[in-house]
Amino acid sequence: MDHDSISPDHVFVLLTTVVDPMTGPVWNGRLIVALVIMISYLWGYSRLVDIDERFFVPSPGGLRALTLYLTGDYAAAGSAYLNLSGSRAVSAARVPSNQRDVLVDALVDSAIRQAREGATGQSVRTMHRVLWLDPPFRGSATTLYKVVTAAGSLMKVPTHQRSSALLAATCAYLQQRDPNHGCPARSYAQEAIAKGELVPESYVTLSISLSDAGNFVESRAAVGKALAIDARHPTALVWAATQARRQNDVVAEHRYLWAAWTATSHDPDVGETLQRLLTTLGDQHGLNKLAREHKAE
Amino acid sequence: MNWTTVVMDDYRVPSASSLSFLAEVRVPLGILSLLLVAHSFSTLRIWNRLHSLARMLERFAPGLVLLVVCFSAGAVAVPMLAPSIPFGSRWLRAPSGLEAIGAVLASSVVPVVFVGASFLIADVLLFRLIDHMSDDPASREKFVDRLKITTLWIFGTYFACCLVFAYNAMLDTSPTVTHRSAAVGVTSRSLRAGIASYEVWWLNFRSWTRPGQAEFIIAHGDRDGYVARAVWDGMPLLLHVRAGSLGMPWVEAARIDQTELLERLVREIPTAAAPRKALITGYMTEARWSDARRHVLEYQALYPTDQRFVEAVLRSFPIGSTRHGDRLR
Repeated sequence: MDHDSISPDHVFVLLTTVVDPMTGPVWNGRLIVALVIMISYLWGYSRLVDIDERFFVPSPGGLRALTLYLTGDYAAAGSAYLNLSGSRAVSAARVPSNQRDVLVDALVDSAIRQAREGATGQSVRTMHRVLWLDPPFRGSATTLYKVVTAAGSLMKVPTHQRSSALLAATCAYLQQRDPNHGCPARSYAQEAIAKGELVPESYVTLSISLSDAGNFVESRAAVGKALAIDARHPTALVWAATQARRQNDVVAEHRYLWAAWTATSHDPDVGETLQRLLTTLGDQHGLNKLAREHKAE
Repeated sequence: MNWTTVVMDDYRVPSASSLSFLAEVRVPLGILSLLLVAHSFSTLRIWNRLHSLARMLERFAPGLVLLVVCFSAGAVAVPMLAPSIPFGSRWLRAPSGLEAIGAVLASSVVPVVFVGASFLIADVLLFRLIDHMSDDPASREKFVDRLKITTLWIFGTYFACCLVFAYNAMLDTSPTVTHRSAAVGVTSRSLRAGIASYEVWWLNFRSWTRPGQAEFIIAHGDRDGYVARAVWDGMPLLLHVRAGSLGMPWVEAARIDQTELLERLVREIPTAAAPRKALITGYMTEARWSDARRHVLEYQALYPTDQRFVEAVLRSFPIGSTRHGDRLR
């Protein structure tokens, strides 16, 4: 044999000798099995380490619900979690909620109700109001389980019949609580855009999801596409302003907030944010204008 | 974080393509380093004396594998099952019971041990594969020697590049030259494997030497004064560049151009008092008296009641930089 050159046949024989525990040395086979299991463990660990603690309900039922969630059966997982939500285990894990958590619960409840009533667009826009809130906020465990159930129900519907825009928004919510491996919100948002369903809203969902993943340039490009379709789109304008504020782009924030103030027909939340910005800037003329417009309503 | 990381991140030579390779190569080099450590451990002389122990460890590998399986399931299951233990079986939940086991399994001790063991096994398997590749011990030795030399060359080249960067910057006595630029965006590269994660942010900006093109450096929050995720397309930058003792210009800091930012703000929102005041103060610090005077007069026209600020600013103007009569026009 020429030891300086190794033929492919030779490599194949040697590889099977090492890899196949049935024909090769027994010890190597055992080491390979150990290696595979350890790598699987590390993969599993990284899958679970960043997940929201409310997915871990300390009970056998909780273990079943978690398994269903991890295997992607969101509808069954959501039902299993909701069945547990009255139990002692969930109550024990409950963290005292603050005002923002109450707001999250109320918004998610109304988004789910709107979806049930067939007002899909309104439901997506309500979900956006939750998605762009600045942390820390959690909402209750029950709300999280309701969203898991809603996402699961939407996933079961065939692609051409389901509301991909709403599925993307619910998935974006879940992704914020399971960042590394959660529901693929971006894919569903792109699916909605391809179907022409609630396109500006879907671009906003895509932008929020990209922003959550730390892709800020792509995120701003996505919201830019929403505004290119409709320059006065209220949701897109509010999200663009939020995005600009997070990146300290005061000029863009100011521009988008004024546009959003008009486009949302003087939404009090937008007005409050604009007032805060104008106060920071010391813009008395702007504040007077805002007060005049508010009074004129 | 090792010293090469410090060299790469601190003495940043802007590049369009080639130098990025040096930073990106850290991940495969890190893996190679761990394999080398594992190899050093697996070839310790002590194993000759503990040969029977090593054989026994390998012989009982199935048992260890079974333990690993229990570990992987137990890390999640034990803490979840512990609360459902009947009240009468309290001993199971005692500090040495199920809950304690669950706490250990859920901690990062097990992944750390597994990462180390994985590298060790990978090394042993790799060298056994090499053993199988040749029946002739001489050629096997030759192959291993070549492998070692190749590894040494890879590390040597990397460290030599780091030394060049360090020499270029640390011995640089040239003055800092400031260039105006604007951010194009940031690129994030991350890798996560089990418990180990690696992330690097690249700051992309418009080149001051090649108009119309972009260059990039590793983002350095402490030096530049902002986090990479706050960067937006068009963000004005001041690049503090030094020539480098080996002729490779390197970026000392890529700070936000606050004056440009404030000028944009004042242009867009002329009625905003706070940024205009900050801009006037900035101009005065830079001794740009005519610009400062122009903005003071504009401010006075917009906010005629704020005489205190106008008076205070005009009082600090050096004699001859402005005519007194301009003050209250």
